[in-house]
Amino acid sequence: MAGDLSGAQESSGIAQTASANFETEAMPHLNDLYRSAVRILGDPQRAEDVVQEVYLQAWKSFHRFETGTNCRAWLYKILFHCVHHHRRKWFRFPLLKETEEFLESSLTAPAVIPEQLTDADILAALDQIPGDFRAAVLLVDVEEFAYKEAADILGVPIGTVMSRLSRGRKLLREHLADVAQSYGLGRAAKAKQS
Amino acid sequence: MSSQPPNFPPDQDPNNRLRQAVRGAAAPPHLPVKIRQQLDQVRQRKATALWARPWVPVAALLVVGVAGGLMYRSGHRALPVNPQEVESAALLSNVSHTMRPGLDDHLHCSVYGGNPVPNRMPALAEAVQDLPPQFRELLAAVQRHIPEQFRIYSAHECLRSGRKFVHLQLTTDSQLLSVIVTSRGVDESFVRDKIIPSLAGAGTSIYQAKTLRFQMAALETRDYLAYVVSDLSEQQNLDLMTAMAPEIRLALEKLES
Repeated sequence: MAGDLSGAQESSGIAQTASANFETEAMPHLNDLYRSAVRILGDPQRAEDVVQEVYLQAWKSFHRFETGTNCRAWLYKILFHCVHHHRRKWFRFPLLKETEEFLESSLTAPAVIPEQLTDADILAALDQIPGDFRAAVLLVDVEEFAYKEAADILGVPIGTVMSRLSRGRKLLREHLADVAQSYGLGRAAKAKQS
Repeated sequence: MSSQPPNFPPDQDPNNRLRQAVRGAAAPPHLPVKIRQQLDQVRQRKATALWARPWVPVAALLVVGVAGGLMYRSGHRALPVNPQEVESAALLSNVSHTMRPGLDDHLHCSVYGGNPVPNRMPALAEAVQDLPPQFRELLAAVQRHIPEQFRIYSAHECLRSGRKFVHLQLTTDSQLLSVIVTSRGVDESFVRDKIIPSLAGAGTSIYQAKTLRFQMAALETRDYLAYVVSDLSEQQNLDLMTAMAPEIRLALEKLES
């Protein structure tokens, strides 16, 4: 039987190899992509749709992926491409711009780092950060990509990533400090008690 | 993720806490299954699109003609003529003659969507309502040994290429698993295929095979072939069959007597 179908089996064999490689290289990153998509989009259902689309796009262009290179970074690049595409489709309003005025107004005082917070508090604070800053924080601080990789994923210069990251971290800590204060924790609360 | 007031060691790095909070979320169990099904559909569509090219039917006719002649000479009757069949033929050609029926049924019933994972998991009674009563013991054996994350979503009798199968379909958060039983053909025997069993004990030899992501473990009785086909790891698949084998054999031997 093998001999009779050699032509078809050869092309099918290539497809099989591609499938096996895709399974090995791409599927293990599903959880990482999903949780990042949830944090970026703020909606688990949309995150599911986008992650499905990411894998579909990745499959279609998998022949361009070089085995041994960073598949996770490649998938994240596709993820952000899909997220931008879907944002345009779903929201149809301009995203918050990274203007200096906005940044100045957001960074009035050095951020307090709260000592005790729950996961829910941290995620809620993260969700309040503007999207571009949140993406930088997620990629570098959570997913532990190098600045260069994050810049490549986001399609921005490395300096922009560093700037967004720095500002994102500060905003996050400010939000966390506010939450801690509302629990009666942190520096402000201590000052009030004394 | 609790809504209780915060309580963690004060010296903990905020970045670590952030990572821990974000990484606490995992993809829903059905997502990998949906993605794999979607990719399987794309592969099928892609294969179908190939047939739309004008030169392909001509080339295919030539191949089919030549292949038909050769197959006729080598005693085969069935000729795979559509892309899905070609793909499955390629997969089947990687495993032994006796291993093929189980893989074939798993591919067409579970993987290619003959009877796909339902959006809503049925209750067990509903899932097994089409199982012929004489195979209830087989079902019980599977239920006793299957890891608890698996759920049976269908147990039924199906027909593939004129051959009857009893097919128990199971799924976990990201994997598909089939327990398949079929009558043994006169020319089907792992011993005759000269396959060396992976495990042999208590009168039961277990045979293994693998193609692409599909792991197979199988046993034979006088009249039946039983298979476990899944996308688990090789060891997990073998362990599962090893655990179930004595009871599957017993259930099948009762049917033989």
